[in-house]
Amino acid sequence: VKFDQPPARKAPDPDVAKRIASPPRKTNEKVDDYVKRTAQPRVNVDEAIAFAKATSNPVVTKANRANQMTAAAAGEDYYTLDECRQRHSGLIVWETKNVFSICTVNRVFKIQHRVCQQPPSTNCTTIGESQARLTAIGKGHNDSRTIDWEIWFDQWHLNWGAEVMTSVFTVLITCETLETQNSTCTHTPALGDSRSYLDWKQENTVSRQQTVTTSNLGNPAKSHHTFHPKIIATSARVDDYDLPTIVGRCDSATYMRSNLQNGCTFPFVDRFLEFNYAEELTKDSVGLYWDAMFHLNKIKRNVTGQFVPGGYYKQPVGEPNATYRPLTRRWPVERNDYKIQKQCRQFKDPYTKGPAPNFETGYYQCDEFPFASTDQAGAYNTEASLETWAARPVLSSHNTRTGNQVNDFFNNDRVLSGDDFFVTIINGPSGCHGCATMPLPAPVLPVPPQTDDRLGGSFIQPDLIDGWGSDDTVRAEFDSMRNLNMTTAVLQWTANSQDNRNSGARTAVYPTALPGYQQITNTDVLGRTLNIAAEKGINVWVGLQVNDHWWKTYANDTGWLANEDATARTLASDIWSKYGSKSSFAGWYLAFEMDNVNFSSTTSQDRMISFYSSVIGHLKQISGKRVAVAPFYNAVNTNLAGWQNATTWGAMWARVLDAVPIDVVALQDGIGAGHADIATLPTWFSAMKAAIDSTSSPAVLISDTETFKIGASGLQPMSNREIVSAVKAVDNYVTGYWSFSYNHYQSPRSKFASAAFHNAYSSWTSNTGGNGTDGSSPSTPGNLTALVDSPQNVILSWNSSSDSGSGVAGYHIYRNDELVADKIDSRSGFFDAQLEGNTTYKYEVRAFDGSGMESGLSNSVVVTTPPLPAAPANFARCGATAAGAPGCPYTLTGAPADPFYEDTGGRELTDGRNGPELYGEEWQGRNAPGTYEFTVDLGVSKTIKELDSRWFQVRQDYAFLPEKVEYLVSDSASTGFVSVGTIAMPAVSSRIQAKTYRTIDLNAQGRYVKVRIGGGTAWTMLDEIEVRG
Amino acid sequence: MSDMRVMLEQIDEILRVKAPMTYGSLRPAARPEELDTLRSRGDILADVAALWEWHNSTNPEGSTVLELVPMFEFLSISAAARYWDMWRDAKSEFPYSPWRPDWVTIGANGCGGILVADHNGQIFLATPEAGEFVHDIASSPQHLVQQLLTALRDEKPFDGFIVGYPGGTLAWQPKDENSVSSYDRRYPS
Repeated sequence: VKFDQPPARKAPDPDVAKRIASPPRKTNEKVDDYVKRTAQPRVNVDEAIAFAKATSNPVVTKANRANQMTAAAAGEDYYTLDECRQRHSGLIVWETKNVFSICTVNRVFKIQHRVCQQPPSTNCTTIGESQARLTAIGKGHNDSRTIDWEIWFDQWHLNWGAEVMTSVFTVLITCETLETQNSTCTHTPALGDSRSYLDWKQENTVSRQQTVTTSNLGNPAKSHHTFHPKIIATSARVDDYDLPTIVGRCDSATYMRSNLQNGCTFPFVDRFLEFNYAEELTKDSVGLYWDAMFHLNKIKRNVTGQFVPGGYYKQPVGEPNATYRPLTRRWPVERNDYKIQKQCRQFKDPYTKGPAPNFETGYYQCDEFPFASTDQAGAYNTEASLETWAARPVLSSHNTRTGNQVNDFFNNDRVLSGDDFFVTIINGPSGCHGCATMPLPAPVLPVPPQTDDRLGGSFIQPDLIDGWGSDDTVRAEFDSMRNLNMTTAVLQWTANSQDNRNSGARTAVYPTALPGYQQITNTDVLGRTLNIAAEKGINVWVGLQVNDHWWKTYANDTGWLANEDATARTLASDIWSKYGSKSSFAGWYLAFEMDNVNFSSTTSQDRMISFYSSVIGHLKQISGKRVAVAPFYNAVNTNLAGWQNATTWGAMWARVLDAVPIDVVALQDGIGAGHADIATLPTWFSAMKAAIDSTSSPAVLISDTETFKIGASGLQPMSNREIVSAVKAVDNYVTGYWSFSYNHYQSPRSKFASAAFHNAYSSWTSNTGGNGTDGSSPSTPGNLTALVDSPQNVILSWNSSSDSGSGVAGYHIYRNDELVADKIDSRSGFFDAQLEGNTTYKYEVRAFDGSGMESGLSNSVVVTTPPLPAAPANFARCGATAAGAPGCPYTLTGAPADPFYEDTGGRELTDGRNGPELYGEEWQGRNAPGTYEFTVDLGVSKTIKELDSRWFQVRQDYAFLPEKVEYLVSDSASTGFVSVGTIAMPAVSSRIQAKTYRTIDLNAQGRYVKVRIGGGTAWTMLDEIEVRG
Repeated sequence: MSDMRVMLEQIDEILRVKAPMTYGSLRPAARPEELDTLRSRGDILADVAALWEWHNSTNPEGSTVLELVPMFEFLSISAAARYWDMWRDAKSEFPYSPWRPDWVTIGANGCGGILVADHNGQIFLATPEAGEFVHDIASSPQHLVQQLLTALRDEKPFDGFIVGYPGGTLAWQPKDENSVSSYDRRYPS
């Protein structure tokens, strides 16, 4: 049984029942006085309708309606007298046939025959009793503001005694207007139809017409009226009798069909729009309605319930609080076919065209349920969720017919805007109508599922694209990605709400009028990315803002987090308004990554849940696009405060995913960053997969595969063997792989400008067997020689290697048996700088390719550097001699030291103390500081011969030697600084160590020394500045 | 050359430059005998016929279409004839349908809605569920083409949509995905 029987009626409210009926006529009260006295509303509209529902019998409403669409046309389907009497249930209640037609029967309407003295007329003696059958029918017009009432008496029978033929009684229908607007309800004739008992008995039928007049206030000028059909004893020889009070409604809706702009209905009667599935000319559309109501999960993905309104059954089915959920007419029809078309295209694209060979346009149309002309229509009801509407291509002629049927129903059944109605289907199929011929389309995953261990996309940072000034370079890059089967690019950020590289300013990578932002890129990176991606078939996930303060505060500062929430929403709206129309705009990427160290408390988790919910909710509301996040973990440093193991971290993510509709979890694998090794990957990825599976989250798990590594020279490309190893390790848990980052490391257009890494990966993508190496080792570098250039510099030379596979990617440089540099360049030669004076060094080199193959070790060479020039005094001490005593004062411009590694008292850098080669108070540290500088005041002008700064490296903690340190000297504190030396990051091994950046052989004069540090995005740690002479 | 023809050729040029995929999918002008199949059903205003004398819609085998009004695909002559027949058949069953034999369907939105030119040259949208109520688009075919030209050339909104050219195709994007077109003018009976 697909549709319900009408619900059991609730008992009428006794208070309403008492008020709604006409008050009894007073003894000897004249009829006109009585009518005047009682013509006042005693209930409101809602009470009247509820009372009518409770006291009427609607069983016939459905059972006897063959087709309400035609039945309701004015005058075509009123109760006939016979039909009404057959319908009589024995109860004196109003039976309903449709919104226009009601009737009731009193089979034992009794008349007392009395003989009265004259006067007084009340002194009467009952001499007999008759009974008759009383039948009353109400007929609402669908072309005028009129309700006709007809009343019949028949089946006369003398119960006992004698009849009094001269007894007189009146049939009268009184009415009131319930609204306060200027409406009136007049009944004609005003005093009813008064006849003698004999006349009634002989003629037995009387017809009365009630005309409802309402002033034309607005549209639809709707008025409700309570009606009281009565038998009034005009003489004292019969009793007054009231039929049950009933309610009617009249309107003058100008949007009804031209000839139907006035009409009256009984508003308590449920309306039914009935379709016949057996009708061949509408079967496809009716089948859609059937499937939407009863097989939604077979025609729409990701639905979890059955909530499509309109069917005559309680929803949600089987739940105790289920209710009837009708459709509601909406006028004017307001169409938005954009969303509906999207749904249909999932089934068939282009969905309007017919089959080959003609591909007729318009063969199919997109039909929807609930109908577009209802409040519940999915297209424009912003509350509509997946479960509340469906759309599918249907044959055009079927859609056209049912559309006309709906419109006819509205007119024929006088359905006003705001009126509810139900949809029923007769002769429905036993199963799903269209599921066999038009099966549910394949799920549209946020990213294409990958089963071949190949990278499907890549994160790309805006600086890289901006640096590629030419669009042709971007095109070449995207072409390259497509050739490597990558279809996704994640533009990692579009703004930085605290950009430490720009003095903490708000920066953007696209032109924006948002207050406080400055565009720091030379080009509209976002626009260029989206436009060229559209050309090349790349889907772009657009990153919102990053904030360099995030790594210091995480979720600990609720005010800051709230501000970032607002920033993200504002930024997203701005971006969507400018770029939302771009076809390549596939989704959003949200930074603020939750790791396994800083979110162990439920408080911090809840704050992030709140943050994610707000931002992601906004993103989905404005764009409907999916949202990706890229969390990470550190599986290595287990002693970090707050560290969670994979299990507890997985539980944390289950909490988050249960609460927040994240679509893509791109989990950073941590291999390149040194946060994990291949053996531990399955533990962490399986934990995240379990977290997703344990919730109702729609998220898919992607491996954010790191394609870089912390090598001898810092961040550098990972070999293909290492990439493949990381990919295969998580194969069982992920849907696909997004690299971090082909563009920045493997691409020939990256700053490494090597084709070897690209070649190796490209070769592997075409045949994904093996471990990722190409089987071809580079030849061994030959004839290594070393030339001592100065006390600090040695120049190495050798014969270049060759490689027949992916090509030579570069050379490992070994000094004193330690790997100190990876030169990413196929050309030979190396300049080893910042050496110590008077020291002996041994050198060797080894070639490597892009796939992970290496050559043999070259010959060794040994050299000794001469002593450094003498510079015995440290002017930065300003005369202090005791270690730890304050030296010269200095000022800082740029990022302050982190509170954990602070610049105690602002004098640490000149206090004469060097830190140990482990963390200690002598070291001050800065995380992602960008460029910052110190200016040391020597007190008096000095002749300077050497400038030093000492740095600390702990690569596994992302503490690197600075990329660049520049020294400048001036006699003025603020102007006239002259650069006297710049030190680039020297070659050192990966072990924990300190290194002095030293510039020598100077002859500079000045009181002020400026040390300018290019700190980049990692940690830098410094313990001392020396100014020597 | 008529103003109509001049504007249509300007549209051609814009499409050629900005939407080469759409431009490439346009079919040649309809042949006179093809137009006659539609004329056999009712008169066609010269400016309406000019649309098909410009291009007979787009290649049916392609996946790119030209929407004369956002969401309303330019129909071929044969498709227009089929729509005429379909609405006529519906009219015979539903006498209160506002459809009249002088309605020439020049576009369809694939959701039941049609883009109509009537004998007065009025251009409007109609859909069965809205009955006698239509959504006005233009006061004449020239007005329609003028609006289209302005929207493409100046990237101005047209019926709530903004033009875009992703991948070399013409594509309309709603200014607001939740905005609606109201069918609120009663078509004269």
